[in-house]
Amino acid sequence: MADPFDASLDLLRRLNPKNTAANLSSLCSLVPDLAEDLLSSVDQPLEVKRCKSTGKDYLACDYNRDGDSYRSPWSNEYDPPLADGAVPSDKIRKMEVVANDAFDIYRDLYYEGGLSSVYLWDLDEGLAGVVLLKKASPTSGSASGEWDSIHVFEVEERGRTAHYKLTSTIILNVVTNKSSLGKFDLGGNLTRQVEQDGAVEDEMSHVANIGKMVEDTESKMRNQLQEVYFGKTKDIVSDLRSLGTLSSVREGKRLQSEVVGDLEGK
Amino acid sequence: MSVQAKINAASVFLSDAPPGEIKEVYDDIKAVVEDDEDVLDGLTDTFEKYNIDQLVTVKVPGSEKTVVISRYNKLENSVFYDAEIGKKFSLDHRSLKVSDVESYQEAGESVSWLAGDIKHYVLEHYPVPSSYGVFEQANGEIAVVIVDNKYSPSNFWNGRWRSSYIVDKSSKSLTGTIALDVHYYEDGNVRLTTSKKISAEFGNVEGIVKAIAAAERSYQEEINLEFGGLSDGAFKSLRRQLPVTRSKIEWGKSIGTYRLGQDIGGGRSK
Repeated sequence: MADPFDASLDLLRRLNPKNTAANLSSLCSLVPDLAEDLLSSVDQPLEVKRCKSTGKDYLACDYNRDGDSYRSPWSNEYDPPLADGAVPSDKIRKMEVVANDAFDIYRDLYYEGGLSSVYLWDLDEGLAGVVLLKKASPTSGSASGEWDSIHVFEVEERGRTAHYKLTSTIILNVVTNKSSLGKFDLGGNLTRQVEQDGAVEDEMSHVANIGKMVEDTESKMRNQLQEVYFGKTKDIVSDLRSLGTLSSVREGKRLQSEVVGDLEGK
Repeated sequence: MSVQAKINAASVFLSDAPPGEIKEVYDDIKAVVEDDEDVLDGLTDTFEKYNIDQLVTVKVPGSEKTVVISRYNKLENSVFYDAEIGKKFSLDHRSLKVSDVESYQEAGESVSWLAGDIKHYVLEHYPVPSSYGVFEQANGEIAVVIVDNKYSPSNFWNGRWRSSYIVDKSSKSLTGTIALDVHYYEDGNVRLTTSKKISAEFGNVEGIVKAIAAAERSYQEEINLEFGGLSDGAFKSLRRQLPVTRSKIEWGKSIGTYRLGQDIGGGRSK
């Protein structure tokens, strides 16, 4: 029999991604022992919170959560306040501040809006972290879109170089409200994994190395999302129904192969 | 969690199974509930509802044509018929096994004249293994259902087109629904679900299939346009392919100069 955890993840990969939050909550009730693991393994659209001390917005996910509180990347404080909430070491927090600033610039250059947050934490042999980006498109006409990027990384320090492992998930949902079109829901997520080495001059080199990796991966994934959402899906619809008559399509193919046959015969 | 609550949760999962993946979804459910038979036995009605709603098709021994399962050709319990092949049969909703095949004649007026037109239309626009059914209903109405499935699990995608109509000869009008369900799941999970209500009028009975063909054609054209529109519109406005500078970011200590440049330029709004 399949493992209930693997089966839960497989289920969430098959069922409509629009219902992931509800399905995840059902799975947590069905197998309470797996709840923690499932919540930390399944990516969901990011929530926006407001930092009480700085008044700036930040993104909330499982990685800046401790119990029912979330840590702001701007103030390093938990909301609701926690006396003993997990915070990064001073060294990692310093890097986290720099990373938040760098990715805020990245966000502005690529997204021209939206919101970003970076969270880091200490590992025995290095560090790990997550870069979060969220953007909702302005409603243009009848269509709107929502984009959530979740880039989780691990850094293994090896003296003057470091090994980086990146798992990137982008959740993209597109909504259109045209009465002539009826109901039209297109959404979901793609995940990619990349590993590479980078040179390390000082601690801040990690931010630049991760920055480049996230930038490259996100640019590639943007093209893949475009291809899958608006190319592949459309092709599948055309495989289901042919706009032209199939007899004329067959006749066209027959004529084409005749021409090819004639050419080859010469 | 009570058994009934577990059945309800599992039932929601099963009903949401993408085209061609109900077996995989059911296997996952089995593993999640650790083969709890009380829960699994409680899913029989959900299987039946899924088959009827999704216009599942079955092979009936002795017939070339696959038969569409729908609420329009259900006789009693799990007995379905298709007058075009002149048969009725029992269906096991879990295994989709057909049994007790018997000959069947429609009680009222034959609808074979329309079945012929629909067959021709489906053959011309829905690549195999598509199927259809034309079923006489109470008070002289006729139900038309069309379904086409394309399963390509080795390429991680599956799709389904469904349309169903009720034709009313007396008012020379028809109403119905077209629905699409496409799943793409290579290193991800992307789903397209659409549905549109259709209503159309026709002059004479020869116009019925023409009205259906026109509605389906215009729907497909509209969907195709929407893919292009979304790609150029809502999608493009989310994330740029390159920054306005047209080159990738110079990461490193001087990254702050981007912000400096922006301040000089007056700054863009956030």
